[in-house]
Amino acid sequence: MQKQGPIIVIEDDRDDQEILDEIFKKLNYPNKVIFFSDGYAALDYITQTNVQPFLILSDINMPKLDGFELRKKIHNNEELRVRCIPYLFFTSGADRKAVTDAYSMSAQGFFIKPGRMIDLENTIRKIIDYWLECYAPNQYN
Amino acid sequence: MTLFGPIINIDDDEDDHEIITAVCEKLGIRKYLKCFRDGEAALEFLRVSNEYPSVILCDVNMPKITGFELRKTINANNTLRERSVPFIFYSTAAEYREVQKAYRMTVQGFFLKGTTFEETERTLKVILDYWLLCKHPNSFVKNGTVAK
Repeated sequence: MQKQGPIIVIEDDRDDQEILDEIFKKLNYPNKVIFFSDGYAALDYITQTNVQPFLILSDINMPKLDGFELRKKIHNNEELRVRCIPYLFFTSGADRKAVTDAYSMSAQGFFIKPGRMIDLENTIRKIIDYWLECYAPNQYN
Repeated sequence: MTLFGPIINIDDDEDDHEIITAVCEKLGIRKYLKCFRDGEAALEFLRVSNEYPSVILCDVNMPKITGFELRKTINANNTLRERSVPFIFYSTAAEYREVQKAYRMTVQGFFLKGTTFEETERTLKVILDYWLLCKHPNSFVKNGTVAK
């Protein structure tokens, strides 16, 4: 995590991407926000660059490579795992098994996308506030 | 602020217990706070209690067992590990090596302790705001039992 690094959003739903984009524009953080529509595209970007994300928000149900499979690939690679802290799931539903599985792959959070704009904005703000204050290995680079 | 389970604070420093207690009092969540002076006492609680923590704030440098050793013990037991999310280090220093070591053991955060009442209040609020929204295994607990 580099506090000035980009926020990476992995989300296959175009509408959700647009809403998030709007909210990030409104909140006006200095971080660049980069959207990917599937897990492979995100993985390619992370592995082929030395990007130091500020935070990663990943949907779970996506075509091709889903959020859990993507997380597994990152988690199994020491270098990627450290670079991809914090990794948060950001999805439309959750049961206890999915949540427990997420933490067993070292996720730092699991959020249900709120339906209302105002709640979504509030959730994003609380996530950013937390990670701005929290220490993580990559910020020392 | 309504929490579903206790805030566990593990810290050998009495002054730090006092600050966090005063902050929780102000936030109206004093009844949720459970302070432990060492890792063994906290471990005992996690093993026998039927309460599911809302959040665990653990110091790093402590006598008897350190925060890292406590985390390692928790990780070695599946039930304890599931019950101990979110686990957050809450320390007076955040040296690179310690932060790196912490995340290797899987933690959900590493925060510096506030040195004043105001700083502590702000940090605690940031942490609680996040974990009240965020799902974790214990957020499925209702009336003391785990929902399927």
